[in-house]
Amino acid sequence: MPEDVIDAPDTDVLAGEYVLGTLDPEERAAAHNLISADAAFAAKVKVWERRLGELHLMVEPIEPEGDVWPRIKARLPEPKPQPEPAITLPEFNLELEPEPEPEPEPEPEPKEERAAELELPSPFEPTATPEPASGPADAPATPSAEHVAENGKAAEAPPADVVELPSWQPAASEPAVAKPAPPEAPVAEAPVKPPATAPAPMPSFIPPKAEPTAAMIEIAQKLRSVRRHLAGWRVLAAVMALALVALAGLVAVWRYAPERVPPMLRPVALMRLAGISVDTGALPRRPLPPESQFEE
Amino acid sequence: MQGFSERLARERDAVVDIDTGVDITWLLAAASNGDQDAFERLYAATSAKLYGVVLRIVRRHDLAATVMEDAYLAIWNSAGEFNPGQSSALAWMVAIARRLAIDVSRQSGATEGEPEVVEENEGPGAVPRHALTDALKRLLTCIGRLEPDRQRMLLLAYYGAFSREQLSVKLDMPADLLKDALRRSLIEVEECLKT
Repeated sequence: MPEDVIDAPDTDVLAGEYVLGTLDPEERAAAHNLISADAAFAAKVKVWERRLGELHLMVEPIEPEGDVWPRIKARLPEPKPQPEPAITLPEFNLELEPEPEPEPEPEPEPKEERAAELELPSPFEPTATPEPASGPADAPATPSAEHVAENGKAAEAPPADVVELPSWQPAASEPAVAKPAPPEAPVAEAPVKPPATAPAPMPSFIPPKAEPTAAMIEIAQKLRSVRRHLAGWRVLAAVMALALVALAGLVAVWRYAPERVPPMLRPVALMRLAGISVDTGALPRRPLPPESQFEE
Repeated sequence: MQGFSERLARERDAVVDIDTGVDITWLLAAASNGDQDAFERLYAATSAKLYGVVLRIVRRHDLAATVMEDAYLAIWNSAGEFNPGQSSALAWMVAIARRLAIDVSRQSGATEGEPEVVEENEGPGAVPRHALTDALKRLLTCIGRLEPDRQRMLLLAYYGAFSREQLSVKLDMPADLLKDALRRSLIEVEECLKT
């Protein structure tokens, strides 16, 4: 690898162009080789990816075909037992329990725990029928997808406070760019000489293996506790909403279809249940409206 | 009643908005531990963004689908290497997908197969102000200091990942001039971002 030939700013630009995507196939292959051979160059590529990375915010999302995920899933490895929430039974438990359970089967249990942690019970989903207890596993996937779609919509319809790029007009033929050079000039020299052996254009990721996992786990744990709190409140809200709906429904049925109410739920029965005695005969008749007294 | 439900919907949106970035980071962390359910949710939350990025570069749905497959497998395999201190999780994922998409677009060239998706607008979309991150603001400020032609060149290069050859045709600029302009623009942006 002719690293010594390439001076620093050139590799900087090469890394930038690599990330931008403007290199031609040979240059790109050379850059690939350089990434795996030269840690400094690989680091420069990372820096450029970070610099330009936020530009993706300006790309409008497009939903892929539905068969992409199944194909990814098919290529994932067999799910392995989750190491983290390994449940070990305390020793005294084994003595007390009549069934000792020799094989605790670590696979399914932790899986379920994780699913429960991931769950985002969202009683405020507009489409959700008020049954918070049902369908815990598959519910959360939809909101996020919806959200992405919403983001897309937001980006499409530019509201008043939209930031446009400084200048994105179609190239108004500006005479500022003079064209002295012979227009047929071929793309001649590449910043890097392609190596003699034809390099297989293999995508090679060798980021530094370092601290990230620890930091991520820490964040994940904090998040989990916050999420658990949130989940508690959401469940409470859901239960209260459910009670309210049931009560409103009961009152509505009393008012609009009293004959449909099962005998157990009739107002009289309920009041009796509460210890208030009522004589059934007198109640239903309302007093006449006052103006009727003046008729005739 | 109407007003209330509207407000409720708005509040829900706000919560989801704040949540999402965090969610993706968390899901990525869970995926790095081998949690496939979390990975599926990560896909659901991010696939439209990645597909948008990839399709702009390879410009064919069949190629884009293949790139998506490879990209998510790469994300699955290297999820443990993501460092939340350095970039957002989504930007990290997009970088992986872009890399693969550019590789494919350079390999395939003008091959037969599906017709290219015609992009009527090759420029970037607009960003709602609340979605502007500080990093993007700084980058756009620096790009905005370039001459208008170069701004356009740089953004076109990023979103479409066109080779210099394609760019020089699109921008009607001689190849060697374009190469020089690209080089200077990158250096200027780099200097600007460093200050």
